[in-house]
Amino acid sequence: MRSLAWRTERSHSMAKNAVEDYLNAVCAGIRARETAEEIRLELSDHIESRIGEYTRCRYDRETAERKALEDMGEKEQMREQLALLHRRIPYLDLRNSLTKIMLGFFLQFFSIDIGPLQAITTAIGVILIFVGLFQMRKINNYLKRAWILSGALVLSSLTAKVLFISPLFYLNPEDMTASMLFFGLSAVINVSLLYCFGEGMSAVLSRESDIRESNYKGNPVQQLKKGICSAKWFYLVSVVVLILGTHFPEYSWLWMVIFIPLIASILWQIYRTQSFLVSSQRGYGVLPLDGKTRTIFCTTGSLVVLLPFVISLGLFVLPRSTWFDSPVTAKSDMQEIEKWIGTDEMDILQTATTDFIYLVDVLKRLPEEELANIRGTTECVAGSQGNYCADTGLEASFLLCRREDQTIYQVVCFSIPIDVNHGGWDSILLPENLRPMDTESASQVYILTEDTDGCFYSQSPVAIRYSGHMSSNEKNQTSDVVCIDYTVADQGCRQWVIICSTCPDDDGEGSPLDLRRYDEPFTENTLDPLAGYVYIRREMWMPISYSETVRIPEEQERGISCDQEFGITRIYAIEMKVE
Amino acid sequence: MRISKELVKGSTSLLVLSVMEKEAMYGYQIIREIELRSEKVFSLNEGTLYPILHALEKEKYLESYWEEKETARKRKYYRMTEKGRTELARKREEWNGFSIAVTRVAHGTVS
Repeated sequence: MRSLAWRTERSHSMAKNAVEDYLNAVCAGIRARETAEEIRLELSDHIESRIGEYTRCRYDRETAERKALEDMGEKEQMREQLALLHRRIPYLDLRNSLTKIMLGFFLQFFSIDIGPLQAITTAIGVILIFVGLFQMRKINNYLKRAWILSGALVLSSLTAKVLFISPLFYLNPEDMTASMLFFGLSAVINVSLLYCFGEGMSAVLSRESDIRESNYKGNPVQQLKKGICSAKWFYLVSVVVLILGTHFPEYSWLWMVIFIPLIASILWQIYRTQSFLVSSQRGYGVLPLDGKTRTIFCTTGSLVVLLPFVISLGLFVLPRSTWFDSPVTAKSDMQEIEKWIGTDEMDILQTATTDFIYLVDVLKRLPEEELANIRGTTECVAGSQGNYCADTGLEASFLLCRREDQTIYQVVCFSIPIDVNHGGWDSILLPENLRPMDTESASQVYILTEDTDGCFYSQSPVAIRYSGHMSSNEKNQTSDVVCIDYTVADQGCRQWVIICSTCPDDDGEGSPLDLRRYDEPFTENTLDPLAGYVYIRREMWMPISYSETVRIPEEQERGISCDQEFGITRIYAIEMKVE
Repeated sequence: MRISKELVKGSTSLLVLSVMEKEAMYGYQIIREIELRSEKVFSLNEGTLYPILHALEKEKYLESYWEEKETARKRKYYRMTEKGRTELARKREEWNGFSIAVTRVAHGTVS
């Protein structure tokens, strides 16, 4: 009996080995450990069912197992077919998703501030984090939360970019409220995201608690869990460093020295965790990105990257009142101007780019009597032109307004940059017949002077003096000289020369005061809004007609030295009264 | 009656999907069910069945779940998805067209 029992046990053991061999052979073709384990269990159950059937038919165990294995067919065939079906390697999905997350954080943190490129790299970064966590969302609840937070990060980033690229930002670029708001929001989301991500990955690592590796001192899992959970602290410290860097820009190099290793530590912790998990060749439930999902992400990702620019373009063409009252920024100067010329009038302002700042400069410094002329404006354009003649630069901010009665009112303010301290004669060209005739006109010339803080203040010239002919060219065209004497606080007396010339502007740059119109006789029909804003208040301004360039001789009387062609200088006008 | 393997080969997916239309089944059960319904005319080989089951699952015509049996053995069950039902309907229609055409040709009948 004993002998029979031994023989039965032995034959059972041998058959069991045959089943194991069969299962090993079939599963050897499956590279993904989890899938192979599932197939082994499934086939093992099937073989056991078959064996049960044969033993019920009174076959002994050994024969039953042999027959069950025969029923299974050729193991090579089964292995090949299953291997072909399960070609996907789950641990590669894990590696891909974590690589996306690492690259995403890298792009997000190290975006270089070079205009629109920063917006694009940041957007790509947050999208990569989102996609990486999308693949990992089903592993556990922490990673699911991290994925949701990464979605919030995409939205926050998108909103921030829309605001910063749009006219809202240009309304008041010095106002950092919106900037700080979104910086703070992104920081909060990032900390929460890194917390959830750290905890989620820590839970994944816990599945490998029994693994010991020679590359690690002690338990690698505990080390990695600690490292990945500390990523949020590294980020928090880096945010503090960034804030300090903003307040103490003179030590920016020092802040960067601290910031870079902190962020690199976060990336390093993710990389270490990834390497460890990939080496186990398990998928941990990371989902693959199939072709359809990849296409959806690529399409929507491209839209997210481009959307701020598209929205921004849209915002620029909207009436200003649609976004002016935004709580993000509301410039008091703008509100003040709005009181002067009304909301409707502001809406027709064509652009809200930097030109707008000049509108503020012009309007803020106008005396009350000039403001009275602007009220009732139905169209309004502001602009600025640099004036580079002789040895200095002179800037003219101008404002063109069309009033309800269709008359055009123009104000030009000249501003003197602060860095012009070398004195001497400076000159601008004025159209013929648009020159001050006597000292009484001085009160209608506004000179804006920039002080050391970069603020402009208005300086009325004390006198305007007409000094007659200055020069003539071979065609006997003449240039008249008008001197404006004025006093600038702390800088003593300055004297400016306005050359009233017949020079046309032929620089071809299409300045706002488009000279294409100047060779036409002035009529009311000249008021063509597309022609380049050559609007002149009829009762005050005389028609202008130029046709040729005048070269100013190098040596001028009154000590003017000029060796360049004045014809390239743009035309400016000053407001004057015609009694 | 024994049927040539070549004839069965093209219709195994239809056979598997058909027997699973009403209830979830495991591999061994599917083989038995096909044998039973065909009165042992078709005897599906295990080496053929499992790759087909896995392929159908990959195509999302079937979905699987595990159940623990009294013997402490885990058993993998497959059940049909909506997508699977649509595919089954399509395959049935295809088979009907095919079998009618084969009958016409084989028996020389003209409608």
